[in-house]
Amino acid sequence: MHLLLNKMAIEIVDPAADITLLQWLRESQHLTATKEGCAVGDCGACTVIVGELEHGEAVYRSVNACIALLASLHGCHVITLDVLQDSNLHPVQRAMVECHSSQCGFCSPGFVMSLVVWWLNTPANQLTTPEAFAQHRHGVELALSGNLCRCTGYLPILLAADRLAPMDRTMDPLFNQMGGYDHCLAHLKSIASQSHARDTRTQAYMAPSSLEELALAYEAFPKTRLVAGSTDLALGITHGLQSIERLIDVTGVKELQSIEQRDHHIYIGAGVRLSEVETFCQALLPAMSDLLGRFASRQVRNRATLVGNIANSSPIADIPPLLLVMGAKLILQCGLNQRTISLSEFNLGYKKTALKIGEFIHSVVLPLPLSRQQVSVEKVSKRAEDDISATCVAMSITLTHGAIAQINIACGGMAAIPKMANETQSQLLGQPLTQELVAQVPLWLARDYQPIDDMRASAAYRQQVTANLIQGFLKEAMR
Amino acid sequence: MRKLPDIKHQNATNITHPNTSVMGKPTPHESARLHLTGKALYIDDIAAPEGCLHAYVGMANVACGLLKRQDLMAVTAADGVVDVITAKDIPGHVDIGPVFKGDPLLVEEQINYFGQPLFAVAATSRDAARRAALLGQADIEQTPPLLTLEQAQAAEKQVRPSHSLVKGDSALALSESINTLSIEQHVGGQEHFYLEGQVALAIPQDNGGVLVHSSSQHPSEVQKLVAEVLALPMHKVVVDMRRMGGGFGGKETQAAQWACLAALLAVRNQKAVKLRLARSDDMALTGKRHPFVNQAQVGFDSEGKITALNADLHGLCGCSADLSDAIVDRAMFHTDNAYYLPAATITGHRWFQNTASNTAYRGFGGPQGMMLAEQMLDDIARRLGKDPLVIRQANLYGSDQRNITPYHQTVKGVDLTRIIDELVHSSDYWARREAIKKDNQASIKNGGRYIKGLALTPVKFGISFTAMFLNQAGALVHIYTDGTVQVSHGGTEMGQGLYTKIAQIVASELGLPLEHIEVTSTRTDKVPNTSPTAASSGTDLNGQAARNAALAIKQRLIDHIVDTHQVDAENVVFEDGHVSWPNHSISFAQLTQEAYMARISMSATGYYRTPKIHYDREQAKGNPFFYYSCGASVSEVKVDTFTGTYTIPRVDILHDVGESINPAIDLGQVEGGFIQGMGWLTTEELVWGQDGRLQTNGGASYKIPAVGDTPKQFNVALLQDSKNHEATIFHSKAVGEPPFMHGISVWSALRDAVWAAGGEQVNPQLDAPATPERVLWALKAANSIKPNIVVEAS
Repeated sequence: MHLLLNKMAIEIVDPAADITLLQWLRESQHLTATKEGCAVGDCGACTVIVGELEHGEAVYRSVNACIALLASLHGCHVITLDVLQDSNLHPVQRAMVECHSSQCGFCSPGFVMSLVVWWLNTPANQLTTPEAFAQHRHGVELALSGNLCRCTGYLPILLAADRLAPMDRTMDPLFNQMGGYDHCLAHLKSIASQSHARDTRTQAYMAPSSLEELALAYEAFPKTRLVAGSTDLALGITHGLQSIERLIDVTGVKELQSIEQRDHHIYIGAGVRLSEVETFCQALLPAMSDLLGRFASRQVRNRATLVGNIANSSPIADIPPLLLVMGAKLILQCGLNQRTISLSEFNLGYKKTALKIGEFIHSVVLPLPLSRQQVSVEKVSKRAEDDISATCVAMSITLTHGAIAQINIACGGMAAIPKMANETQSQLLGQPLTQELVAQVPLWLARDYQPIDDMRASAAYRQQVTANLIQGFLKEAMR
Repeated sequence: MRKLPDIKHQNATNITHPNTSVMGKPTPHESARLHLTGKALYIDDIAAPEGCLHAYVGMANVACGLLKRQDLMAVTAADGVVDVITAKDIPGHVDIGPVFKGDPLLVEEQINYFGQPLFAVAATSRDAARRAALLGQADIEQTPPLLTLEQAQAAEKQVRPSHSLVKGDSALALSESINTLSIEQHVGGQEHFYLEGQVALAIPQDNGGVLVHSSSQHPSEVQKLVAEVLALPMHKVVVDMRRMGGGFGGKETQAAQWACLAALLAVRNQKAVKLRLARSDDMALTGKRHPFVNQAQVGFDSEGKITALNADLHGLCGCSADLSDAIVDRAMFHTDNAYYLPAATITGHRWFQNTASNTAYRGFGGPQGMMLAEQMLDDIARRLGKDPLVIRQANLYGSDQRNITPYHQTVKGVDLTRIIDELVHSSDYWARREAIKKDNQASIKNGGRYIKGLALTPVKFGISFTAMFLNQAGALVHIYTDGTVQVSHGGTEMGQGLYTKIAQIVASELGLPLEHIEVTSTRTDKVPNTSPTAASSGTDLNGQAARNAALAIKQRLIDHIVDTHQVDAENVVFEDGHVSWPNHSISFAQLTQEAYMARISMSATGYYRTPKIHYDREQAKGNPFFYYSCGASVSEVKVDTFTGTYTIPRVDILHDVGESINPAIDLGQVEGGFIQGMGWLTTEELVWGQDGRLQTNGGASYKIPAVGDTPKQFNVALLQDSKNHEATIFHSKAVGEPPFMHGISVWSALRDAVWAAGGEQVNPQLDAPATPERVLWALKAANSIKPNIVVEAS
C-alpha cells in the first residue's frame, strides 16, 4: 500500500490487518506528537487529518488514529501535528497560544488537528450577528465533539476558534509546510493510482475496488469480517487484544460510494460515511442530520458508515430506529445476486442478522417523508455529545382530519435489537388523536419493550422517558 | 571554565527589554508552544533506550478472596516474555501504602479489589506484555465483597477510626432550636480521567540504582517507595518528572505502583522498562474521589440562621487507608463551607469497600463536605419560603463575630459578603430570578417541556496541608555566566501553570525577562524530600522557596557590587535585564561574569515552611489553615421535563486569587475547575457491578464534560484589588482546588428547577451525580413529570 505521510510518500508492503494508524505512527515512525489517551476513539488526543481524493480534489477530515487501521489508508494523505512546526505557528496554534487554550497539553495536539481541519473546511464568518455567532459556535462544537479536555473547561479553546472564525483561509500554512496544496494533490493522485497490494492473493487487508471484486473476495473468504470505518471493530484490537488476520474493506468499492436521491428515496451505498449522510440529509431529512450531530463524534462520523451502523447489529445503534420508522429497505448481495429486504426483518436478535454466509449489505433505500408526515428523533443520554443512548426514539405520524392515518415508532436501547413499537402503533393507528388516547401510551409501550438496567440507565427510566417522548410527540402533533 | 561566554549582544544598549516586569502578567503557559506543536514530551514520548522492555500486570478476576496459588507457566511461555514476577520476587517492602499499610505492590494473599495486580510481566513489546498478562491462572478462595456503606457498617469495617469536630453542645442546641430538618445525601465519587494515563519508565544505572521517569505528583514518595521495594538506599534512586498530562490528585499516590514495578523489573533485567496502563485498566485499578453518604440534623431560627448541626460524614474509602484519614478530615473541615455554625458536632467515618483504594482528587474531601452545607442552606430556605440566596447571606461568617469554625480557627480575610454582592450585581441575579419564576409559571401553566433553575453558591476553602509537616518546600537556583538562570523546585507541573508562575517569580526578583529563566524537570537529585504537588499549595510553597533561593544569590551579587563599587545596597536595582546603581548600569550577564571572576557562588537552595499553622487533632482544635481561598458562582440550568436532561445556558463566577501572579493561568484554573466540578455532580457516574467490577471503565460509559457542555454564556472574573492579608508569595492565593466547588451551583440550580417544576411544594431529594435519570425521578417525586396532558383547566 501507499500513503502520503505529511510530505513523505511511503510504501508499506502488505501491512498486517490489525495495526492501527496510531501504533504505526508512534512505534514505527517515532512520531510522538499524536497522543494515545484512550485507544478506543473516545478522547480525540490521537486526532490526525486524513485527506482522500474525491472528484479530483483532496478532501481533508479529522480522524481518530487510534481506531483507524493503517492498511485502510491506502492512497490517503495522513497529516500529523509533526508537520506544523513553523516557528511562526499555524494560525490555529497561534490563536490557541494567545487564548491560553492548553494546560496539561496532552489533548492539545488533537484539538489543533480538529481545529485546523475545521478552519480549512469552514468559510470565514465575521460573527457580526448573534445568529452568525451561534452558527459558528455550533459548527465548532460539532468539529470538537470528539476531543476531550480535562483541564481547561473548553472556554479558552472556544475563544481561540472565535478568533479564527473571521480570518482569511486562502494561503493555508498547513500546505505551505508540505510544498503547497497542488503539490500534495499531485502526490496523492500518483500514489492513489498505484494498487493497494503487490499480490492480492496473499493480502491480509483486502481492499476491493469494484463490486465484483468484493463479491468474489467475500465468496472466497466468507468468514472474514467486512470492515468500513473500523470505529467499532478496532476496539476489539486495542481494547480486546484480538488478533485479526484478514479483513475485507468495503469503502474502496466504487459502486458502494454513492449517496443519491431518486424517486423520493435516498440511496446510500455501504461505503458512504456518516459525515456525508449528515451533509446530504440536511435539507431532505433534517431529523437524520440532527441525529447524526449527536452520533458519536466528528472523527468517528468521518470514518464510520451508515451501513456499518446497521450491519454491526447493536441494540444501541442510533440510526436504525429512524430508518425503521421511515420504512427503509436493505439491498443485500451474495456473489452477484441481490435481494431486497425490509430493515425490520434484518435484525433477528442480539448481534444476529438475516445475512446469509457470504452475503453483505450493498446499500440502504431510505424513503423520504411524505407531505404532512411529521418525523422526529429524540436521543437521550447522560451527555449530549458523543454518548451512547439510554433510549433513542424515532417517530413519524400523519394525521387526517384529526385521526392517525399513519404512525411509526421505533426505539434503540429498549430491546436486544432496535425495534418497532408494534403494539403501541397498532393501538394508535386509525384512532382520533385525543388526550385520552395519548394517556394510554405507557401501557401499550410496556408490552412493546422490556428494557434492561445497565450503567447507562435503569429499565424504569428507559421506559418512562420513552413514554414521555412519544406522548410529547403526539401532543405536539395535536397542536 | 577557562573562557567566558560571549555576551556582547546583551550589553548593547538598544537590546533592552522595554518591560520585563513579568509579575501579574497573563503570560502564556511556559510549554504552550510545545503543547501546540506536539513537541512537549510526556513519558511515553521519551525515546526509550535500546532494548527497552514493556511491563504489564496480571489482574485478579474477583473483588475479594484469598490467593492460594498461581500458575504462570503460560505467561512465561508467551511470545516475547522476558520476566514474570510475583510478590515473592520483591526484594524489599511489598507494601507501598503512603501513610498506613494496606497497599501491596502485588497481592501476597488477600485480594481486596477486582483487578488487583497479582503478578507483573516484562516483554519485548507492550502488546506482548498485555497479552501475556491475560494468561495467568490463579487459584482463589473467593469471599463475598463488601461494596456498599450498609455492608461495611454491618461488618463494622473501617480503614481508620472515626473522628469528630466538636464545638459547643450541638445536641442541646438542636433540642432548643425552633426549626429542625434532617438530611441524607449521597454524593458520588469521580474518576480523574487525566488524559495521560499512568505511566513510568525505569532505566537501570551503573551504580546499581535506577532512574525513574514517573508521571507522578509526588516524586519524592516514588523515590522512597522504589528504594524500599528494591531494598536500596534512597540515594541510588532518582525520580524525574517534567510534565504530566493531567493529575488532579490521581497521581499523588496512585503513580507509585507502576513506577515501583517498572523499577523492579528494570533492575532485575538490567534493561529499561516502561509500564503504561491501558485506559480501561487505569480506570479499574486506580482509586477515585471518595463517594460520601452525608447525614445531618440541622437546627435554625425563624430567620433561617443555623443554630446547630449534627453531621455524620461517611466516606467510602475503598480497600485501604491511602490518604483517607486526611481526606475525610478535610470533608469535615468544609462541612461549614462559608457558614457560621454556633454549635456543631461533625463526625467523619472511613468505611472499607472492596474497590480500588479511593484517593486524592481536587478538593480532597472538601467538596463532599461542602455539598452537605449547600443542601442544608437550600433546604432551610425552602422550609421558610425564602430565596436561598438570602438564607446563604444571613449565614455567612462574620468578620468580628460569628467567626469561629467547628475546629476553633478564627476566620480571617474572608470577604464573601463583598464577593457575593459583586456577583449578584454582575450576574443580575434578582432580575433573572424574577424572569425565571415567570417563565417557569408560564411553562407549568401551558404544559411546557422545559423548566429553569438558578442558584448562587459560595466557596470558602482552607489552604494548607492538614498534615503539618508537608507544608514545606525546597528549590535550587543556578545562575550561569551568560546571565541565564535554571530553577528547580519540588513542585510538579501537571498543566496548572506552576512552572510558569515559578519562572515569573524568579524573573521578577532578578529583573530578568522570562526567556532567561528555565524551570527544569522536577528531580529528586535536585531538590530532596519534597511534598506532593497537592492541596493547591504548589505555588505558595515552591514559589516562596524559589524566591528565597533567587534572593540568596541576588544578595551575594548586591554584596559584590557594594564591595567593588562602594554603593549602598538599597541603591542597586535589578530590572529589564540590567543591574543599575547611581550612574552605572551593566547587563545582568556582565554582572554574572564579574561575580564569577570574583569567585562568588551563583547557586543557592531556597527553603520555605508555612508559618502560623498548628493543629491538635486529638483535641480537634487549632489553625490548620494559613488562610482561605474564596469565590462564588451563579448557575442557570434549563431542564427537559420529558427526559431529565438539561443544559446550562449561563454561569457567572467571581473568584478571589489575591494578587494574581498570572491572571490568565488563574482564570484557566477557575474555568477548568468549575467544569470538572460540574461534571462530578452531573454526568460523571461510576457504576460497579455486584461482583465489584467497575462497569464504567472507559470514555464510552464514563462521561466527563465535552465541549458542548461549556455554558453558552460563561462569565468568569477574578476579584480585583484583593491582596492576601497573609504574606503569601506576592500576596496571591492558591487556586488549584477551590474553583472546583463552584460546580455545586449547577447541582443546586438543578434542585431549584425541580422545586419550581413541582410548584414549590416538594423539596427535592437529588443525589449526586444528578444524572438525567436522577433529575427525572426527582421531577416525578415532585409530581411534575411532563407531559402532564391528562387534565387541562377548561
